[in-house]
Amino acid sequence: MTAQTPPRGTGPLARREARLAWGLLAPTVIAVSLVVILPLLAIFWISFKPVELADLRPPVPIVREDLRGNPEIAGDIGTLRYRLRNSSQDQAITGVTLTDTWPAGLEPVDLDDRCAVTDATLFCDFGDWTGGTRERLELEVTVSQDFFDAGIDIKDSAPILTGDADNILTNFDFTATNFVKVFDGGEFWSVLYVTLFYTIVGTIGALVFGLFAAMLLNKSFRGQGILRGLYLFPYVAPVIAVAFAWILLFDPFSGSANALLVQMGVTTETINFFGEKPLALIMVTVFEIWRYFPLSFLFILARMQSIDTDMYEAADMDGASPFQKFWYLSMPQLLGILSVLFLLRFIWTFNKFDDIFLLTGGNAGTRTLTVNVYEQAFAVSNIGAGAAVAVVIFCCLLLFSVFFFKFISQEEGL
Amino acid sequence: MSLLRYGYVTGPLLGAMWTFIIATTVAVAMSFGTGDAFRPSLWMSLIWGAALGFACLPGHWGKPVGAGVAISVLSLLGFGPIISGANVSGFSSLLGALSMAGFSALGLWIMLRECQPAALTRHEFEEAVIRFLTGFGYIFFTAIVLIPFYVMVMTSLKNQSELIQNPLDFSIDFSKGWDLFRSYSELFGQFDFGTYLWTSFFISVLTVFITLAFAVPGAYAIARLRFKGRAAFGRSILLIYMVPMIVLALPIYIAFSMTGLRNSIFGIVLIYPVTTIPVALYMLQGYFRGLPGEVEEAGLMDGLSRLAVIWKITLPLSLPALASVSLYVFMIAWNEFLLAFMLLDDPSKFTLTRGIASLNSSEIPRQHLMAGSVIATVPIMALFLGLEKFMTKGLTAGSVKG
Amino acid sequence: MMTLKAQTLGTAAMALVLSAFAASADDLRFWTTEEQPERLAKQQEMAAAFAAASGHNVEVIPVSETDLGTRATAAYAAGDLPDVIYHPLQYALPWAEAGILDIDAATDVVEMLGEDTFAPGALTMAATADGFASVPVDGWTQMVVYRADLFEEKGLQPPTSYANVQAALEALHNPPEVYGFVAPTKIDENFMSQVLEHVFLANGVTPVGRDGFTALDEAKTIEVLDFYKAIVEASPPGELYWDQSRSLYFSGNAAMIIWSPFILDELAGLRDSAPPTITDDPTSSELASRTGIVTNFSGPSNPDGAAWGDIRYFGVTTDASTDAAMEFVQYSMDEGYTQTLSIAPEGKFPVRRGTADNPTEFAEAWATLPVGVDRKAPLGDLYDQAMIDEIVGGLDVAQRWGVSEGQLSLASKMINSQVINRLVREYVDGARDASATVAAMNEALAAID
Repeated sequence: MTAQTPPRGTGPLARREARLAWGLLAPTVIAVSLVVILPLLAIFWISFKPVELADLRPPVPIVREDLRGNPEIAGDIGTLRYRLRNSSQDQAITGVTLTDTWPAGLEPVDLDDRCAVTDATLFCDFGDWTGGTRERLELEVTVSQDFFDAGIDIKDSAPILTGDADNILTNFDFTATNFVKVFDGGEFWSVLYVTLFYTIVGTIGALVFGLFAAMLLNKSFRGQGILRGLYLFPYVAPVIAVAFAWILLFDPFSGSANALLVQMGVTTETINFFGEKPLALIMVTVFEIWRYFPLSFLFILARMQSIDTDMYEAADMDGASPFQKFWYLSMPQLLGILSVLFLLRFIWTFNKFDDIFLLTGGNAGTRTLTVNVYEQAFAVSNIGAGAAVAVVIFCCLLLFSVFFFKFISQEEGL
Repeated sequence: MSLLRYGYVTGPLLGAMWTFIIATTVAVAMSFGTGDAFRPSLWMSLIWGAALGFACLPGHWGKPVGAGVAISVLSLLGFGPIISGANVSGFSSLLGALSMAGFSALGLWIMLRECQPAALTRHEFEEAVIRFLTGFGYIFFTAIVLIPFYVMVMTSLKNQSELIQNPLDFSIDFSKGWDLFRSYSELFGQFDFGTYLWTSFFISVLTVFITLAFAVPGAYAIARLRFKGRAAFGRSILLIYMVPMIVLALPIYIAFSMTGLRNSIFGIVLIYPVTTIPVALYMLQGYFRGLPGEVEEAGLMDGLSRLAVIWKITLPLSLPALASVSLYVFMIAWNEFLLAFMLLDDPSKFTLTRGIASLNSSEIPRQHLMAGSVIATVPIMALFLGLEKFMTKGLTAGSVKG
Repeated sequence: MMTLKAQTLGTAAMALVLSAFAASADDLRFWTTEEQPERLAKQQEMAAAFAAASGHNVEVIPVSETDLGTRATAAYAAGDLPDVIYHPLQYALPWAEAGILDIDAATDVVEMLGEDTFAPGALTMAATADGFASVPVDGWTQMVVYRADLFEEKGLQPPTSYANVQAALEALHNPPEVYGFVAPTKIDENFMSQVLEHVFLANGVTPVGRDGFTALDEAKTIEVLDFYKAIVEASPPGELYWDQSRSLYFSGNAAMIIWSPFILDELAGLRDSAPPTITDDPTSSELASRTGIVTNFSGPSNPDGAAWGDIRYFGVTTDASTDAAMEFVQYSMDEGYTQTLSIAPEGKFPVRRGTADNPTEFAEAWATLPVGVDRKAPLGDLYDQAMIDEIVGGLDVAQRWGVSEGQLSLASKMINSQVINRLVREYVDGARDASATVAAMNEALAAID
């Protein structure tokens, strides 16, 4: 690190300051890189691997042991049984062996030729297993009196198994199938269209309504504080609570909204708001607007209240009408905050997952890219495909960020 | 356009629109309030509204009052802007008609205060329109915000069959007494909601403390200390802030699955602060920048170390900001749903949001779902209303996290 | 390296001794799909009784049936499966294949309880090459529930076939007072899969043959699709599943629904959270007396018709504390079996009829169990014996796709994929015509293994 020469202070001082700064920042940097940077790299890694959810579990050999044949007195013949299987259905395990303490007082009558008993230890070698292999090892034994006297329980010694399996997450096989799958067919484009519609309409809607609400409250009157608090409710309440409230409200079967519309004579048949194509997408977008107009409203209001009032007085002198004042004086002042809000909200809406997931689960033509990640990774259990969609999202995001920083560097105030 | 700016035209036009809005509002409110059938009539609203608008032009106050009474009577007879169903009680019909006529007349009287019947100046006309829009705006926003919450609370007090019989009947049957809150007692009794509430609270508070412990020094460094890469750092914080949660949730899920952290509160406490640290850092550094540097420099002159300066001078000065950030972080952690949903499977470890998600089953009555939602919403609302100043500040400073 | 505790089998008698001095007390986690508060409470009672008998604690965890598949896969991947899962038939074989269920443990339990004490059909449905995937617990047959009084009034035949149902729709569909039918349209609910499979079976249509997938017969499937479309068109709009069909039938606004026998106690006004609202008295059994049921249902191409049965199983998972889990399953199927059935006797017919000493013990005990939640009465007091025999008798002849072909596992995967639900729904919504829908179904089903 070269010493910079700040306007005051000297080299060593500046260095000390920088050291302190990095010291203060270190915990944050470490935590964030562990939970943000690493996962992002992991996503890129996984997106090139054909990983299914069940593959997260490395394949291992599994065994169950019991003594069959109900030997009751000395001299009875019993069967020491080991049932083994490969836990994975499609991954092979190589070099499977079993080691177990041979129970005292059991005399082997007939050993399997894969096994040997040495020093009261049973050792078996099963070689390589393909996926889904099941083995049954039955060793016939004579039970002696010692066995009953010793009160041995077969369970006392757990068998030890070894074997090597390839771990799909860490090996170096890469494939582009996930991406092929993601871009395959018309589905990707419909998902992209839904995402863009939701993002653009949702963002603009939230801004327009936020502007309207801000204009309403941009004056002092009794109860202004209460109303301001009230209008922030949709944003402050837990998303899961309001989403379910909307679902119930617009339920086609017992929802109040439908009952009201039918009663008002607007429709005769109830409308399935969250269940039919085009309408469901419009509804989730409306929900988005409803939930986020408070935020835009808060920012726009803050900006409005910081506008100099001298300007308006001057305009009044010149006989400008209220609409003219708004259009020619307020709007230019608000343009900055509006454009920053637009960009930020655009990115956030693009990233939104919870709302749609809770309202429709991505059905009825409301599947956005983010919901698609979840669908692929968990509903279809294909983690690789989910990661591929996540990579696509991340690339879009980088693109937006470039725009955003071009803007934010010119815009003060946020 | 110039034709519009004529008192005789403007008044009736605004009157027609305003009366229809009021008629609709009253009909909806009465329907929700009583469960009886009320509906606005578009044509009647337009016709009588226009007449009312005419009557409300400035002049003797008797005119609007008379017109209002006339419209109420018409409504009761079934020819007015609001129509009540056949089996609506006389009192409800009267209440509906009177409130409709009263609010329509009052609103128009205020709107048309400065309009003479003859030609209007641009100013007068626009003032009238703005008052109309303001009135409409208040009604509109209040309705869209309140209705979902009203439905949430009321549904939690009804039972399944009542809801299906008449989805509009939200009137509370007080004769049931404590049985009204049956859903709540079942949630706390059979569904362990007490535990979820405590878990959520515990996790949220812990998240606040951990976040502050990381973010305060970091924010101070970015705001006050000069070092290479400071600007880039400030930017990358914002960038991290823009990575969608679902993209991170996937690898976190995989890592937690493999390390056995899934399904543990410890895992959640590990993850939540990381999602909030960038936000908190960004908010705090903005605030620290605004603090006067002289006080701190005086402290340094007195031989305090940097850390002592932060502890003794900066933090006490920025208590309000810390309160805002804490509240904001608390809100994020309390409302967080996605990670809790993906990482928690075991009811003994559920947070409140995860608990509500588990109520979303067709086997469980819906009033339980709504009661759960109310339980999750009330604490955060109470906090919000009680500390609205800090909260609003926090939201504004907290950039635009959504 | 994973190792599993092994276990000794003493004599059968020894195995059934659950001493309170068990070598080690384990904490078991038990996933159940019976998540209604009342049923949950009963299961917790049973868990407590088991804990008292064995020293193993059991935590009863409710899981929505809609989430069961994804939750199990996720838990398997994370290595934290519960010990025992109570699950419907369609998961038994796929889960055994995926390594979620411990076949050996289930087989041992069946062996200890005595294979011949179980209803053979229930065991066959869960049989694999290496034993049984899970232990069958209880079962029921799906019924067409209809308003016998309205049918009589109009002189209609009972709804035993497509034709009879359609004739009844003509005569009775008069919304919003009476909907002819309330058919499920919510594609992510199991209920829709059940009803659809029943309707397909009624017309003798199946997607599996002896060697795996066989294309759906176009002509027969079109009959099924058109019939389903007709009953959906006679249903209210919206995302319907069992909830709406029951509510509407209870309020007297539906002439026919397809439902499980779980409805029988509610229908008689014995459960406050789902009361019949057709009269002002929510406790009256008026509606029950006006109701008729049909279990065997037929389509035009299959005059013999078919009944649809569901069996529920206890699966011991591969992550389980195996011995304790086996003890729990064994207890629930033996000393605790009557208690298990009493959770909701009207929908839980015993698939284990008795013990080796008394082969009809459980069947007899079940017949006397009271049904209902807030008020109780034995089924025999509410319905006439002929109707009860019709319902229970259905279980022995009940069918499912793939059982007779030995392809139940594949059929289950097809059902779990919900692709049939989706395409039927799209057909009803008019997305494509009938033969294109059949083609799309065949294409989608062929893609499933």
